[in-house]
Amino acid sequence: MKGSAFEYIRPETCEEACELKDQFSDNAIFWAGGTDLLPLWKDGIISPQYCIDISEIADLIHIVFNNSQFYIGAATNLSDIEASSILREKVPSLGEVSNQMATPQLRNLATIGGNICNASPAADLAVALLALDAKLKLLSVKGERFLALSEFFHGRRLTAIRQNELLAEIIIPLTGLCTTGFFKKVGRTSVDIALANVSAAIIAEKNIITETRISMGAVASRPIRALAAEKILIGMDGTKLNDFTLREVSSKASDEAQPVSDMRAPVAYRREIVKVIVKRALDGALKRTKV
Amino acid sequence: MSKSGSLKIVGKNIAEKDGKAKVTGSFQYAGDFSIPSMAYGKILRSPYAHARIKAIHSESAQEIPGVLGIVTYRDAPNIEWVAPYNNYKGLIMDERVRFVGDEVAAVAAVRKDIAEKAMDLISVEYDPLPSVLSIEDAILCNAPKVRAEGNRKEPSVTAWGNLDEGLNEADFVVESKMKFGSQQYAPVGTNACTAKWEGNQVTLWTATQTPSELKSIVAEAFQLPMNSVRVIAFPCSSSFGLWWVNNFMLITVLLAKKIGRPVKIELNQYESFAGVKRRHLEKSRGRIGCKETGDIVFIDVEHIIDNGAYGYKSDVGFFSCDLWGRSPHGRYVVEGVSTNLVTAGCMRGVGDVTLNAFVERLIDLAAIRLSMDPVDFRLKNHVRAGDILRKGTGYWDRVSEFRGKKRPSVCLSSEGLGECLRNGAESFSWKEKWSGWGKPYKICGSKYYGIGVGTATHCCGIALGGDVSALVRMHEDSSVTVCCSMSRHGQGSETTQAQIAAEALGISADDVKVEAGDTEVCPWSHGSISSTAAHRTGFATMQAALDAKRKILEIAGKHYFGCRSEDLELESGKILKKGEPDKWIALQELLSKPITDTGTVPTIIGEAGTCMPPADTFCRHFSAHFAEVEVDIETGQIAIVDYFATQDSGTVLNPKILESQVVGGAILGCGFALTEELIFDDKGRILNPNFVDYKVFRSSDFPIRCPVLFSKTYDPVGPFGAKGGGEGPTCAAVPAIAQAVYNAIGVWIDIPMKPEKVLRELGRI
Amino acid sequence: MTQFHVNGRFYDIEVSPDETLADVLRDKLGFRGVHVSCERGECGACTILMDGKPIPSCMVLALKAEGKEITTIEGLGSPGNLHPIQKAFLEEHAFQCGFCTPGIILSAKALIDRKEPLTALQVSHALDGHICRCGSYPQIVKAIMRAADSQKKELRHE
Repeated sequence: MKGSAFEYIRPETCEEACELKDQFSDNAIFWAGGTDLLPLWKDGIISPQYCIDISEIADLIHIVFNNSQFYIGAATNLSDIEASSILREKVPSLGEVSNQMATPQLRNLATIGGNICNASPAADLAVALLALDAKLKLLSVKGERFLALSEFFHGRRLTAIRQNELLAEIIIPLTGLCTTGFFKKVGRTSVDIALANVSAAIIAEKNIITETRISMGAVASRPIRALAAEKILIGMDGTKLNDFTLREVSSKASDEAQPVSDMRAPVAYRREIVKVIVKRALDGALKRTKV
Repeated sequence: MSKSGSLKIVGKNIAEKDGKAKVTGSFQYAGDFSIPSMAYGKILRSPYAHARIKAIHSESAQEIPGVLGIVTYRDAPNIEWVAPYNNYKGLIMDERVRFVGDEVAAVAAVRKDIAEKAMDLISVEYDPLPSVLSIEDAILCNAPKVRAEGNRKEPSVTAWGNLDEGLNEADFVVESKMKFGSQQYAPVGTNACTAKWEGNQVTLWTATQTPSELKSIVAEAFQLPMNSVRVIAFPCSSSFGLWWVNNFMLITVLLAKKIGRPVKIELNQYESFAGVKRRHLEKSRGRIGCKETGDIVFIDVEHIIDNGAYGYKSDVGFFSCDLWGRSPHGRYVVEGVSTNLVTAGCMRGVGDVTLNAFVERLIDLAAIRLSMDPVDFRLKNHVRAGDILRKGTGYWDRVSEFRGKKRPSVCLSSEGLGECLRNGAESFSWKEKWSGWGKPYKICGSKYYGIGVGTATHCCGIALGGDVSALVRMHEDSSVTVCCSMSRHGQGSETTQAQIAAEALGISADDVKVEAGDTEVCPWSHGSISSTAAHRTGFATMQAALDAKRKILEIAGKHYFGCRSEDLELESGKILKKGEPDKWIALQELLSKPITDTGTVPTIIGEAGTCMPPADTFCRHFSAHFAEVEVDIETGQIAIVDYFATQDSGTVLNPKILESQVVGGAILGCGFALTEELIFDDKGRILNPNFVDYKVFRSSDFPIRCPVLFSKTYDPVGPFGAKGGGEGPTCAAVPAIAQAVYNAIGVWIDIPMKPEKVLRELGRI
Repeated sequence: MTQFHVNGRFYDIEVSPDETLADVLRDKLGFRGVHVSCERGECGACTILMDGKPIPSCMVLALKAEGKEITTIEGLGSPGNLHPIQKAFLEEHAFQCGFCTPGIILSAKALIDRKEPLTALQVSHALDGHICRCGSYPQIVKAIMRAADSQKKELRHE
């Protein structure tokens, strides 16, 4: 099946890309890996007149650490995130998530920026990044701006990206969240869109939990944080948590979810398993917390 | 023929003949084919589950430059065609559409994109009609009619003994019911059909498991003599019963006729998933009566299948009644109903994947009642060689009615299931792991581990379905072509048939080529369906090879040795005088020198004089599978931890090839048991016609090792003792997994055993 | 005109922006070993190597492949001169209908070329992007382990 015809342009810099987008506006789309866009185009759901291929722009492909923040170019492939030794050491959840996404071949094409901009409620990387307090750098001809990822998702495929803006970079501050982040996903087979996915991360000082992050996907119209559930563990001794407490947290998180029924899973199932994997993700995060 | 011990070629791991082509990408499929001046066709499909076509407006479409012609129901012959085993019964197109995706029109154009564009410009006025989208709706008395004959076909009944007596004799009775999801073939690789008319003759190139059937049906539908239709079959990619005779092939023929040019219609993935065929939706209910000793007294099953829009079966094609045919009484009633869903038909292991899984459930419930080990219960009750075949009896009745012959007793020619169960259980460490019914043998946190065993049988071809035949042609240089109309869809027949012919002729398998797809040279054969190839087609190939050998030895005796042919032998490419090994001539010499009778080189074409195995011995292949599963009781997810397959296929023609079939069949069955299901919405549309949401097993969904153990069975009828084997494995996998899950968590889950069903049965949601 | 570098050779052809790499490789350059099925990157049948990495060619716009080194199955070996991985697949009978085979062999090549130690479980996971509907997964894993092993032995001899 083929979609409508378009013109293909491959700019070499971000500046060029933004100018082109400004020129063609809604008639153009940014195309990185194309793993989400190509099927939409083939099915006739999108019909761009211009395809601006940003997948080769050097400034958009990097994984850099400067001792206080990580900078990941938006066009970095998932397979490079999976293979990155610096991420494996300092932000292990990102490589672990990438390894569970799509297929090995698609990961060689798909990008972190694409996963975020596509804004699927089940976006795995988005869920993991939400638990790490990630920020986004957005570019346009008007300049650059920064936005917390937590403010980016408005709904299914709806984001805060402005007209003609380009997602350029994902920035992760180096905090205790990075090393403790733990991701869990439930799918129907080994390769699947999440029926529910969760990332949990914890910061503790001298065993006392000072920060918790619980992000959930596929259980609302966008990836969300379970803010009320997160508060329960604050102030508690991370070495003395029992199962009862963790189940209380995961139940609360499940209550904050707003899952729907679809052909993949009924609402009752989603509500139940998000509870289960919140607890498992917390277990994982606690084990990683150096209490 | 000699038993396994003295075989030189049969039984060996001869490399698959198509292997090099497959691993280098030079193997051709129907989509790769093209011919000069070929046009491209696309099919317009109905958006409604049931509607009458009021008008078709194609003027705008016709005007597009490059469009060559359009066909609608007005161009289609008013002849209902019937696919093998009633997998389709209907017109090529008519003024009603009966499922979402039903064919409405077809466009031919000089380029694919032009044909697609033209299709978008054809506008159809529909008069939507009420539809039936479920078995329950289809059987209501005032249900809208899908077919003129009505929605319910006369049920088929396989019965023996007397159920009332059985009820009296039984010490206890257990009842149950089950329902199953509709599985989709979900092929990787689609299909294409190219048709070309030359005057009143037509040639088709397409992937089909049944080249001869396709030829017959085209001839009948288009009122042509059989010598004017030629099918050149391409290999199928993963077919399992999908590509037999399909309506889109006939549409291609129609379109080519209309435009006077060759046309190729290539189906895309969506069309292959949603527009052709699927496994039936099925439901079973029934009961089993047993003695306290564990002997089965009766099995009584009512099974209903939905045929979709154009399928028309009542006998779903099951053989599990034979597996437990020792019971003195039995009754299996199968009814087919029509619905406004995509046509349903035979998919690998048809009938036994579902009905057998239900019978296995009844067996398990009886064994639970007796606190009896499921392996022991099966060993006690399964059919033995020489036992009467209940299904075979039913079939023979239909033969004798057709041929007016007295029915001989029909009994099983060979059986190795007992050996499979015993050896399989031992290799799987069954006794060590068996903890009793519904009791996991290990628990780790939320993960519960259980083991299960499942058995199944299936036919090795069905004599009634049509004959099989083969020709063996000797070339002048003593290379051989075996012509037998069948399929190449990964089951290795082009290799195993060559092995059979080579063994019979005493030559190397390297010198034998199999021509399976050209109906111009292959005698009429049912095709590669109902696990026919190894046993029945193989028998025909062997007979044809022996006939060729007889003819060779007759000529040798008359023209070279001056003796009777019985005094000669054919071995390793030489014709020798028995007892005088110094007297020999090369086979090639005989074949390449003129003989005085004809003045030319001998024409040696061996024919299969006795195609069908003698009808008083019907054949079954058997499978017993052992599985270990891990059930996460918090998420409901089921993982297969260990799997062991055993199989009785008689003499194994080629162990590596059959092993692939067994493992592949098991994986298909496991997918059916756990993850695969077509989902229809309330308008009859398929919601998951793609690999994103139709969940087939990927590599890491199945254990990395799956040992296969073959029984040492020799079938007295099959070629060199061989039997079929392609379908039993799919059937045995389903009850093995179902039982393993029950043993892990103590509850039965409906199929497919999706995680939400597990949590529901455990009371967690 | 767009230049494609396929199996070590250069090809200059006209390509329109809406053509996928699979379209071009199969229909314009005649590499019929690139098999197309789902057209959504799900089944893996169309997998080729682009700069040594396996990617589904139905999911790549052809123009994106300009300047990249493309390897199709035809670039690996021929019936008279098989690549060791192809030999291993024959020895283990790691295929049935053969449709998924070329894509899998190329993914296997990329995996083995990493020269990292491999376990059967890792290989199994690495194949998750390929659907083998005929169900030859265990045999395929065995063939890849066999090929990896024989490559290790060859390297030791060098």
